[in-house]
Amino acid sequence: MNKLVIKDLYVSAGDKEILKGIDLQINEGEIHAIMGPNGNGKSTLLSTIMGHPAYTVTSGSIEFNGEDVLKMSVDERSRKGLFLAMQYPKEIAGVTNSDFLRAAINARLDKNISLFKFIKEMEGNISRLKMKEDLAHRFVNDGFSGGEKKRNEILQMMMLHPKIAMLDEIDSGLDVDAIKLVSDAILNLKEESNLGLLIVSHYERFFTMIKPSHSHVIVDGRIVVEGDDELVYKIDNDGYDWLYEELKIQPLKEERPMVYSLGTCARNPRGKNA
Amino acid sequence: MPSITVDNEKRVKIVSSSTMIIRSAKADIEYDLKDGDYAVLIFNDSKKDLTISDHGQISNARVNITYIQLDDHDLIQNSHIDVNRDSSLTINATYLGSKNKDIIFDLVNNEPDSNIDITSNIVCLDESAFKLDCIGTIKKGSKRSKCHQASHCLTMGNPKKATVLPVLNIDENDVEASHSLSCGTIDDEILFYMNSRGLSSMQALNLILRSYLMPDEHFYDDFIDGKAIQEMAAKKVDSLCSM
Repeated sequence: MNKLVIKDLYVSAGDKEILKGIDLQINEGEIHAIMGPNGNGKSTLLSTIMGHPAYTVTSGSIEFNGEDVLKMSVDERSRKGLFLAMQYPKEIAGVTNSDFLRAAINARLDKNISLFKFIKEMEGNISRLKMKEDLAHRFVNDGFSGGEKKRNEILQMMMLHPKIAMLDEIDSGLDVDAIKLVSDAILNLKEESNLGLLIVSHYERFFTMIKPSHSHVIVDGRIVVEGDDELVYKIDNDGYDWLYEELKIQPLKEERPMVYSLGTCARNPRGKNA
Repeated sequence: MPSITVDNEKRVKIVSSSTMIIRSAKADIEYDLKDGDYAVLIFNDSKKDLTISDHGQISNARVNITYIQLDDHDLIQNSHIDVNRDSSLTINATYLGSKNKDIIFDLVNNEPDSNIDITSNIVCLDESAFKLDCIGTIKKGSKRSKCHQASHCLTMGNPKKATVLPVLNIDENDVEASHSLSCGTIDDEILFYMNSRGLSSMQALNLILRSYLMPDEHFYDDFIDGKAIQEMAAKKVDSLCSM
């Protein structure tokens, strides 16, 4: 059985400690919802599991099917069956979706996928996600709307057949119909391949469709409460304040970079600063 | 479509679609393209230091010119093209920046309703010095004209200097003009994204280099020797990835 086991995980970015002792186990076929206020470590957890170089694991362990994930390179983690659908997918101008996905599929096969099989599978999934037919020939995420980027992440997940998928706010930027489409695609994949899922979202609407089997709330780098889908609905109705009061904790406030005005660029025609 | 091999320093005049294979140390090319649709491929196969001078005019025509320079020698290129009324010029220029390369594109919207669109893809290697001046001029009277420039310069290793200078001289109202430029190494976040889909860093680099140095496979279909040039470019990318 595929399982991802995280034990007592501490993670820093630069000199700032973000995760402060996370314990979590995701088995195949399970859907785990991760919630919590912004800037408290949800995305950091997912990025760390995938191996983002900005984050340093200072102690603890991550194992996937008994193997030490922390010793694996990012691409090795992917080939083992981990997948991260990113909150802000990158644009790769000049590289088409079909070249990118075909290379990614071939990277995990002993023998390259036949062109016929690849095209058939890609076209089928594009159609299922109701994406534009020319997607295969467009550059990866280049010029895509926010919703298109998120659907493209799901398309990649469908093509790469991961064992455990992590979805970081995959529903943001999607309209109601697209959320339904995406959640159906995720559930179909789960049914077909017994996929395990770790999902970060702020919205109950998405979780209502996905029906998580487990839910966790991260505050200040720690999982402070766990439950099933009822916890999702309670947080959607009551927010997090009851949790802060009950547990006597305070969330970290999200840090946003300061915005400075460049005087010379922000001058009006009369020469006065705007 | 004729294939012209330039192996001496005489001026070559282009009046129709052509594949130009340059094997001399100097090349002097004149365009006189009128009344029609044309595609021109200029491929540097000189295997020595090269000076290219190409110039001319386009009238009542739609022209695509592709420059491919993957050679490891010095290059000086000076291109000056006037685009006249109801004409369009699309340029795709690909340069592997090894040694010293000094390129000037001087493109002029000469009359009303003229369109120019230039895309330059450059890969600058270790110890190279690359300079691209991309000058677009919309002359007075060239109403409803368009001039768009995009330059993408990828640096690998430690180039001595990579300079890309887009310039737009606009002397008319009611026109469209733009330029975009990227210059630098591969973005770490893009590399992480590609790694996270199972591609090793070398496989990711290979895909990115292909996007810079190789037009898509159907592009060459129109040209004599197109397949051979494509294979040469693929080999070049593979050898860069194994460095």
